Amino acid sequence: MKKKTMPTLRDFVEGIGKASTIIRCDCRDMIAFTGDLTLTLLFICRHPGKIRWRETLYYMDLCGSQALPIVLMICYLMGLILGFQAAVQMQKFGTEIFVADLVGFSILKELGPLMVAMIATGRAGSAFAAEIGTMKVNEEIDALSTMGLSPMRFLVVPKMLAMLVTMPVLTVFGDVAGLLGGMTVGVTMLDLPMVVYYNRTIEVLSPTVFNLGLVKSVVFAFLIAAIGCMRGFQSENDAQGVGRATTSAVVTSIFWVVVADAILTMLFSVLGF
Amino acid sequence: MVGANKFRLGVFVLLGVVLFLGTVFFLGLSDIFTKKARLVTLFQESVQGLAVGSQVKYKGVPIGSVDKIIIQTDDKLIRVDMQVDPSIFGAGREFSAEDIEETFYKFFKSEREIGLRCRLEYAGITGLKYVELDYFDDVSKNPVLPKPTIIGNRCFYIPSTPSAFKDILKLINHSLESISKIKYEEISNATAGALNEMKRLLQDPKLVQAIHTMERMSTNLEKSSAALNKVLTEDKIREIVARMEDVLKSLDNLARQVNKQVESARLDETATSFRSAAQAVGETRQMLTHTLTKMNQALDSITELANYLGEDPSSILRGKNAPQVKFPNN
Repeated sequence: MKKKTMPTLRDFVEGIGKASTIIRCDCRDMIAFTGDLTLTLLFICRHPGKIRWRETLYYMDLCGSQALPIVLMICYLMGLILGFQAAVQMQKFGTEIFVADLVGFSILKELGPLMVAMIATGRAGSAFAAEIGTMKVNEEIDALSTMGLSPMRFLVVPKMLAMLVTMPVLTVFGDVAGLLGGMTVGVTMLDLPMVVYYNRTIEVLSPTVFNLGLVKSVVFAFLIAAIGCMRGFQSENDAQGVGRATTSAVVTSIFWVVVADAILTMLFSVLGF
Repeated sequence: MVGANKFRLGVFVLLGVVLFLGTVFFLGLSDIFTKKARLVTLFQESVQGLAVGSQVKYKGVPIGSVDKIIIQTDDKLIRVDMQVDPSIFGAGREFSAEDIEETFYKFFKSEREIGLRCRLEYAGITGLKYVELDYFDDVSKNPVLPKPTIIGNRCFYIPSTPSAFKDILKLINHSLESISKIKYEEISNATAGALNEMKRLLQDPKLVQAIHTMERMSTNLEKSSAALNKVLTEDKIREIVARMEDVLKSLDNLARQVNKQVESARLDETATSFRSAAQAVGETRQMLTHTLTKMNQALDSITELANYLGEDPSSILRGKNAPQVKFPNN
């Protein structure tokens, strides 16, 4: 067995260099993938007939309708938790009715799209990475390239389109479930009449708030699909490589989703929404 | 590849679209299809807490929302444009789009004449405000701000009246300003010094001794008072007072005579009169001194009598005890 030695300053500097190289390569690959994806999407826009609708519908079913129960449950519970926490604090000041404001704004602007994105990352992002990684291990991607078929168009575009369609729809479901969760707390714990809570929610929320959440969900969908597919393509040619690619897809997606959420929130704030 | 469950996917997409449209509609898209009336008002005070979207209420009933807040640079007034749903108003029926102009504005015009005003009110403890339309008592005290020059088509101007909290805030600010001027440190130091002085004074042996003396005096006074109470009946006091009144009347008469004499005095007779007057005064003083001496003696006797009666109350019936006679032993 090799004897372990204390890391020297040289090893530390080497480590920083290696990490920098990895980050640089990662960024380069990400930019290259984004460019390739943009070109493919532009091509698809010019030639809609080239879209593989069958696969697209399959992924819509996989990422959308199959994810609906878990999205409804998670978002309902999120609204419930949020309402409960707000109720505990607001009861002290006799401002229970403002639970509707807090839950409404939080769910529609932030938590609805974010929670749906997290679920989609865990379900769809990892599935995309594993699927493409396995295809890479089996050299199916090389086979597609050899036959002159674009792997990007064949594999990524259906997934991307499916995500872009299903994520906003899932967010709508998630938003409504979250609002119902808050209403459950308002009606049962705070003894607010359902009509009063409903009227307050309608009063404070606007279509703009609702649509901002949907815009976020579209951005998140793009990120999750793109990162999932990219990590799949970057997978190493063994079973462990596929596992690492899947893990990396989930972690990277979550990171970029949160970063994008922060940027969008600031952007909307600057724009006055 | 496993095919998609198209029915499930269709239900998912359709439900999603329906939910989307329903949510957007209920969250305010329905407002687009409602006919709105516009009201305008001007505020001279700060409108902090009022924002675009804040509620507009008529006697507490929500009738619309604030649409626009503008600062008029020419007169520094805050113009607030409001959107109001006219269908809320109506004598048991909703207004149709056609008679909004006639009925709704006619109603507001007549109400404005009889004192309908806009006023900022707090919506709760959060500091948010809303515009309240009501008939306030102090309308006549406040001048009506002139109508804005550019009011726009289908806009109706309603004057505003200053809010109640404006005065309250002014009062609070004034009070706080006055309180801030109080030099607490100086007061505190002075109070501490005074307390120390008081403590030192209270611990002074002379004061303690003085207090003891006062206590003794008080006890003696109480005893004397009790004795006097027993002896000095109301009738006696009246009698003494009557005598004193007589003496005082005599003195008064004497003073008057002296005054007359002085007034009618001539130069050659003045000295003689003055001498005789001085003599009279001297006599009177002697008499007074004598009277007071007698009174003093009388008081002493009364005190002695009271003490005696206190020791032997039955003597008031039997008279003074005869000296005890000693009999021979056999």
